[in-house]
Amino acid sequence: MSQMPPDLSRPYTTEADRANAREALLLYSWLIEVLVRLADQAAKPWSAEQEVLFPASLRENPARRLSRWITTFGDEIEVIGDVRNRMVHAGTVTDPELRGAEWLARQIISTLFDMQPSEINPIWARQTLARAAREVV
Amino acid sequence: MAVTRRLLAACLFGAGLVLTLLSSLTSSLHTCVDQIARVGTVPTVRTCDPLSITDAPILVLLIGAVALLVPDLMKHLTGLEIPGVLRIEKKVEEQGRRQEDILRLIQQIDVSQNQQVILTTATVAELVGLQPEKRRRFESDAP
Repeated sequence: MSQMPPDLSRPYTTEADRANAREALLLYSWLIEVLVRLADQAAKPWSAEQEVLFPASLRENPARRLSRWITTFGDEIEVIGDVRNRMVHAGTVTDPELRGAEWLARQIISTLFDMQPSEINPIWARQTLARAAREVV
Repeated sequence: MAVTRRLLAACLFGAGLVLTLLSSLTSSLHTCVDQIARVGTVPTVRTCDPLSITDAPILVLLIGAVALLVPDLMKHLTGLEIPGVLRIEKKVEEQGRRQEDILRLIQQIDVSQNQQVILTTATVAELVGLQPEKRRRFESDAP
């Protein structure tokens, strides 16, 4: 859960660790997908509920921040989606890909919400996802 | 090899035909047998007939020619599909070919997936290395 880059050559020690990483990647990639769809609605003014998704400490307009985030981290969003799709549909994801994609997802989500990567976990992701999904038409 | 075989078969057929014709049209190459005479004082009488298709020399030539053409005949018969026998053989061959095609396709997909995995792993590794800088840039661009 640290901010240090992961050792991609290190395999998961147990099948449970691998399963946890898979579940986390699924949640993070789903959250990213919902956030990208939220950004697509940026033409309309955001509702108060949508703005509440982002921490009040941010002085930046949430819609603008989200748009900037998608532009800056477009490559990361794409590769996370690729790994997620292959994991779900083909089941041919290697440990380095899984470890790297899960770490990248935590990094970019924490950057968007101005949090520490260690604060991003499946429980937080599930709660945020539930709130964000309600706001996406 | 096949041409030589067919030529040899043709020669054998030709030889059989020539022998039959010579025997029929001339007085030579006849097969003769002694038969018991029913009249006269001589106990046996010799009768000669031209060679027929059932005589040993002609039969040997025909059998030899057919034996030489057996491989060609088999191939031809397979094309005709004898119901219940050669059709099964043909289907088995088709199935074998289809399986080879499928195996080749699977190998291609496997290679493609391996390449995809290598490419994604390299991209992930590169992006992991870029994160501290990208995060700094994202924060500094904020108003």
